[in-house]
Amino acid sequence: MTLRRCLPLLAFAFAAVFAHAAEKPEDAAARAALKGIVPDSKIGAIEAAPLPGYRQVLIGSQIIYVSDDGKYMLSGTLYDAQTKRDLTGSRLAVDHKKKVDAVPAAKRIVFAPAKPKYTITVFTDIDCGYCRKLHSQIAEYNKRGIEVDYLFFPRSGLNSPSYDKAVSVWCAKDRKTAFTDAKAGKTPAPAKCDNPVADEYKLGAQVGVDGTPTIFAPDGTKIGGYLSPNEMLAKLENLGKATLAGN
Amino acid sequence: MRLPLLFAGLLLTVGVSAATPEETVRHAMAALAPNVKIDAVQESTIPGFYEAIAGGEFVYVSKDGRYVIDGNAYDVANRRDLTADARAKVRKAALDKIGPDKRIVFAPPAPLTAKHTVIVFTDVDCPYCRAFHKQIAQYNAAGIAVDYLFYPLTIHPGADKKAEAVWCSQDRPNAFTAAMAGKDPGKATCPNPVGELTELAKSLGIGGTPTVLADDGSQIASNIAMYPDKLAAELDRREAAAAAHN
Repeated sequence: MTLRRCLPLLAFAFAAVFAHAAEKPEDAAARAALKGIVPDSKIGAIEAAPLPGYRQVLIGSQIIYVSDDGKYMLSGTLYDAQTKRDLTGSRLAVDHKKKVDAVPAAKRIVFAPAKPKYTITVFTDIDCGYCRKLHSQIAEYNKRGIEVDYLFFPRSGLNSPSYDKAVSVWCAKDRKTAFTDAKAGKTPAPAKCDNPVADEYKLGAQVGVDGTPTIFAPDGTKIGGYLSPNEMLAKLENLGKATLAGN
Repeated sequence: MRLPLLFAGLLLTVGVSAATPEETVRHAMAALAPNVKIDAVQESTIPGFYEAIAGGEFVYVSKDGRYVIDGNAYDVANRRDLTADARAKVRKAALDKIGPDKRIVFAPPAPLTAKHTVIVFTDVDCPYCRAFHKQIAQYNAAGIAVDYLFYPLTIHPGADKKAEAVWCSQDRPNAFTAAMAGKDPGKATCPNPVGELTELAKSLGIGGTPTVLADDGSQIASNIAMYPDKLAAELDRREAAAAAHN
C-alpha cells in the first residue's frame, strides 16, 4: 500500500526534474530574458509562438513574445494580418476558458433561457452601475438565447461592503431573488455561510478581470464590459474577427 | 517556351520583393484597421520588423507583412524599452518645432535658475492639471521650468473656448493661473495655437492630461510628475543616466 501511494509521487518528482533539465534552449533563453527585465514575474507556460522565431510566455493574463535568442521582447497584442485574427486574445482565451470552466454550476448564479445558444460568464459586483444595468435587462439577454452565469468580483476587495453584500446574497434562502433585489439597490439581509466569493475574486485576478462587469464568451474570449442585449448577441455571433484596439 | 515562363517568374519575384516598407505596413494595417492613418514607417531595432506609427501609436509589422504587434518592444541585453525610446524621439522632434510663442511658460523667477524644463499638456478643466499648477511655485523652486501646451479634452465641453480666452487675455500667465483656480476666463478670442496643439497632441499619442514630458521627449509617470521633489529627482536621475550612456 505504501508503495502504491508513493510511486506516483516519485514519478512526479522525476518528471519535474527531467522537464527542467530538458527545457529547450529557446525556452530557457525566454525565461532568462524575462527574469532580467521583470525579475518578480510569475512565469506560466513557455511555448512556441505563432510568430516565427519567437517563444510566447504566459504571465498572469498577459503574453510576452521573446525572440528565440532571448535578445528581444515584444509585449502587447499580436495580430495575423492574413487571417485577421487576434492571436494573443485567442491564446489567452484558451487559458481563460480552462480556468473559468473549472467553476462548477453550483458556484455560479445562473440566469438561463430554456434553450441557451450562448453562455457568457460575467464577473459582477453588487454595487457597480453597469453591472446593475446589465442585470436590469437580464430577460432581454435570455430572450436572445444568452445564458448569463454570474461570478462575484467585489471590486473594492475582500474587506468591503460589496464583498459582504455578495456573501449575504449567496447565503440567502432564495439566492437568485436576493441577487436581483440587491442589483435593484435593495440591501440584502446580512447572512453568512460557506461561499465561493473569495475564490471567485481570486479567479478574476488570474484571468485579468480589472473592473466590473467583465464578460467572457463561451470560448474564453474576454468580451470586456457592458454591452446591450443586441450588441452582446452581435458580438457573440462575430467572435474571432479581429479589430485593432481603438478602431 | 521555357524562357518566357522563367522570365515571368523572375519578374514576379522582383515585384514581391520590391514592396516598400510603407507598402508592406499599409497593406497589413489595411487588413486590421482600415481607417487608421499611418504617420511613419522605419526599420525597427528588432530584426525582421518595421516600426510604424499608426494613429499616434507604435506598431511592429513583420517584414513579410503578415504579423502586427500593437505594443511595446524591448532590447533585453541593453535593458531598453525601444518603444518608449522611439516615442520620445518622435515627440522631441515634433515639440522642438513648437516655439515659445505657442507655449505658456512658467520659468523659475530670478534669482532661481532652471535646471530642467518640462513640457506639460494641460487642460483648464482637468482636476489633476489644476492640482499640478497649484504647485507651480514649488516646481520652479526645485529648478524646473514648466512650459504648458494646451490640450483641451473633448470630455470637457467648453474647455477649448476657455483655453482660447486664456490665450487671448492681456496677461496670459495670470489668466492661466486664475483659470486653473476655477475662475471663468471670459470669452476673448484671437488667433491662437489651441487647435494646432490639440492635433499635435493627438498625433503624438498623448493619452490625457496632464502629460508631462522631459526635454528629451520622454514621458514621466504621473505618480512622479505630480510631486515637485520627486519630479526634480527623476529629471536629475535621467540626466545622469543619459550622460553615462553617451
